[in-house]
Amino acid sequence: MKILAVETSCDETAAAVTEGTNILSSVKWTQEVHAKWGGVVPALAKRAHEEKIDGIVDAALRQAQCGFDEISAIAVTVGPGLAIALEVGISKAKELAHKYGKPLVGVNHIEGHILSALISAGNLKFEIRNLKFPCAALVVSGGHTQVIWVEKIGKYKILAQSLDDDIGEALDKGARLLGLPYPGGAELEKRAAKGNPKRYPLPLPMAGREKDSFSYSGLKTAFYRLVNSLSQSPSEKDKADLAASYQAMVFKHLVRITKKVLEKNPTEDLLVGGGVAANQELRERLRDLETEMGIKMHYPVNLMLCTDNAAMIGVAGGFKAERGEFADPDKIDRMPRWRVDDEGR
Amino acid sequence: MARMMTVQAERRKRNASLPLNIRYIVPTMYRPCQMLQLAMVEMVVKSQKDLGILAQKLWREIEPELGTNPVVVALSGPLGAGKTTLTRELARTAGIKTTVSSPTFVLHIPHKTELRVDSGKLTIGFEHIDAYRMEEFGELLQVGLVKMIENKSVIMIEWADKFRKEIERLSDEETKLIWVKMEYGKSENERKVEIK
Repeated sequence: MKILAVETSCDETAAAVTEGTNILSSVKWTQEVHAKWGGVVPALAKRAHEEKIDGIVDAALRQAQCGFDEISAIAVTVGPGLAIALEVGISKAKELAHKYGKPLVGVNHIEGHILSALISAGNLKFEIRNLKFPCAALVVSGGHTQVIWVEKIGKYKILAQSLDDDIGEALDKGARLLGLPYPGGAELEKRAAKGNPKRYPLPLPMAGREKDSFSYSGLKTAFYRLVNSLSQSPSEKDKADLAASYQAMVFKHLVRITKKVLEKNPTEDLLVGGGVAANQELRERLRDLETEMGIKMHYPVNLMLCTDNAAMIGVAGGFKAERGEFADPDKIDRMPRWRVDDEGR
Repeated sequence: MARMMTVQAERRKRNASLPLNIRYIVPTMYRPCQMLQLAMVEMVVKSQKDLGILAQKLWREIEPELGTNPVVVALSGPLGAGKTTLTRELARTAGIKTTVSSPTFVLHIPHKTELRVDSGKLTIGFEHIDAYRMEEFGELLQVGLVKMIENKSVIMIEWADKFRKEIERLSDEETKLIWVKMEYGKSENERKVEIK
């Protein structure tokens, strides 16, 4: 069963063709693509999904060498995300479903991230039968920090989430405080790899009074004060140490809460997804959890599947289509704050 | 001027129960519309509880406009100064129960609140926008700012000072525009907040 998937939940305009957990194509609009079409991207054009969506959908079908006659259903991200952005993907999906007489599937963006570790790309195959349900998932990105209980594919419960800033945002803003361009999470990781994480003391968020939730705004504030208290502008070495000290505390908090939550909800497998899952230092810290608690970590097979993409929407949509969970084309609507454990549709 | 004095006295009375050191700065020129209720306020906030009290005061300025006029609360101040926290406290005061987290990544998170009024119930949109990642004013329009104003929502805009001129211009006579500037204070938990 081939699925055409459309994802426009925030910044990315993306489309993919998937079959089961296999990717036949996955296309994302990037500045590089735009450069080929003609020049500099104004900020406004970045999220001008309307102008890009047709070209991206065509490219996904072309790369998959697939016509509409082979497509069984059209999956689209319905939420959570930016309302006006979601709207573009939904309209496009509705239009195509109507035009070609295909059923529609509304997908939760977070479910996409949860299932992204199950996706095979090229020779890298994931065997779902190796996974023991129920299991847990950790979604870490610019806009999400969640530990989720996965009863089975399609049935979820949020065990912990952020009360304020999300982890990717915390890393990006930390990078900004060091003068790195936004988003700077990846650059922060590079600097931190060369730095001493113990040089600068920073407070561990909610230390000793942790609840089942994440909080990064206090740490961000402490880092602001630290950077602004330095008597002279930091050298490259200082910046590396600052990056390392900050990143270490961001991950320490993540691991502590995840551990706390999973101690109460024992599991053998943890599916890790979202842009921050690409961070090697985070994987190193989660390895400690792996040895301590005997939990097996599962990551997306490549970076493209960590950050926002349409392939994960296609895979999640494929499972929903198999279960017969189709959306009514007259009723399908954006849900900007849709929780992955809310089955109210 | 007499009316002005009454307003000031009234405000002092309302604030008497609040344990904050608040200084009102009487505007040099009496402007009847916008400034009637809100003179410039400067205060020092020392804890989250203080911020909650500030949110209550702010809400009292907003409340008379609800359902009649849109309200834009334009927040400014450096990273970590408490813009999201103040928004959360204001949302609590407004009776919003959903989690108010940072909209930096997603740019806009919609909330709503139901208020009891004489004629029944009134649903008010409480729109939380973050301009941190925005480079052009057009991006604010892209997330639906005009529609939110038409809907007479309460619109919180973090990093609003990036588009100060445009936001000033956008607010017609009906829109109540409140600027909230937050800054770090001397001690660790201290913040200076300026409202006008």
